[in-house]
Amino acid sequence: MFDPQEKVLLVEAFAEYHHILIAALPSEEDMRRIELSDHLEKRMNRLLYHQKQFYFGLVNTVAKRVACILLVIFLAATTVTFSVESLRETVINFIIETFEKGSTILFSKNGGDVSNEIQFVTPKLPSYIPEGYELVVDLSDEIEVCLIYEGEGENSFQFLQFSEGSKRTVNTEGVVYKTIRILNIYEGIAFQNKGENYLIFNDNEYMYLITGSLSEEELLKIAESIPFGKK
Amino acid sequence: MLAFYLSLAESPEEKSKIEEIYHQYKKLIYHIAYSKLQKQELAEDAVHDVMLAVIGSIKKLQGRSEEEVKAFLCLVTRNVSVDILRKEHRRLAESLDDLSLAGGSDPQEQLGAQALADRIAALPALYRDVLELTAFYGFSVKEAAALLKITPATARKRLERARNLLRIALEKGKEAYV
Repeated sequence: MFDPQEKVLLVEAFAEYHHILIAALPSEEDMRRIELSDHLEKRMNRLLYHQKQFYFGLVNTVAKRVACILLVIFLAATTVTFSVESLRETVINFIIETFEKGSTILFSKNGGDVSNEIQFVTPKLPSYIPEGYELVVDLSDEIEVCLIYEGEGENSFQFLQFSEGSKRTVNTEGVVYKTIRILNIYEGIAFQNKGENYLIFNDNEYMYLITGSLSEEELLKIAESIPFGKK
Repeated sequence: MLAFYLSLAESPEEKSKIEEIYHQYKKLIYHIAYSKLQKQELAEDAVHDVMLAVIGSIKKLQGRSEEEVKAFLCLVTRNVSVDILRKEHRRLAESLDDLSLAGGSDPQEQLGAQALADRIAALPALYRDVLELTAFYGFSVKEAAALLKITPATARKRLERARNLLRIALEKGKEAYV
């Protein structure tokens, strides 16, 4: 792209340019007067927390080839009763786009188009928390619930709840999914990756992700204690 | 739509660096964004989007000086803010008048990094940003395009235009280098 001499010249010149640029920036004194909102701090703390967790991966759709396996998860907003078979095949589907190292799971109530408006979340917190675990971090705000619980040693789990149009990227390299059902009604998927269990499901209002070092059975108990359908 | 695209920052050092950059420069990013966007909510969105860009670019920022990281953040914040403004359907005043200031065939062209730096400062930001990301920070054209949210073809064109505008100064600089 650049010949060596050109590269050296440009690097030196940009270094000089940066001196000019930085000199024109506001002083530390001016910066001290800036107050960032609690909402922003919470949002950023959540982002910083997630980026440190091994189970999240970056999906760069420009740089990577995408191998798409599309299965759509949605719950029909209907009172019609389906048989177990038809419920699985026609009503409950996941949207999963499989990338090289991560899967992006999209929750859509209508199986495709999602609203672009910000949707506030009414927290639906589980009443069952395994013995020995306590809430240590609350990164929730109006549009997402994000709670981190810790137990003895390095044991922990996360409870997340978010609204339609939410995407979650999780590291799914080499994992095998299985479908599960919460309270025999709300279908989702379960899988294990790098020693951590994952449950991802929705109740046609919100999407939930529970993940951690607990067994699948414990995660299911947590999921079953969510007050679905209650305001 | 909430979409979290998080880093393939593999090493704990890279992950810590991201956090360090945020805490050290969050007010700077917000200040630059707010000066362009004039709205708190939009400036906060910009801070979030800038940090996403930092997360995606962390490998290129490892080992960089404070000044280099600051300059990178200025570049990204400016572009993120422009992108947000574009989405808000406002008219952008990206003046191309500066084209007249660079690349002229001045027989008295000064040599050296300072002169070239002056030329670089006079470039339209559209052209300068691609040149800076590729020549200084080591991004490929494709990576720079992704960061600036333009196509690789557009990035290549802007890079070519930047180099054309600096051509005289670069050639003079090379003569002195030899």
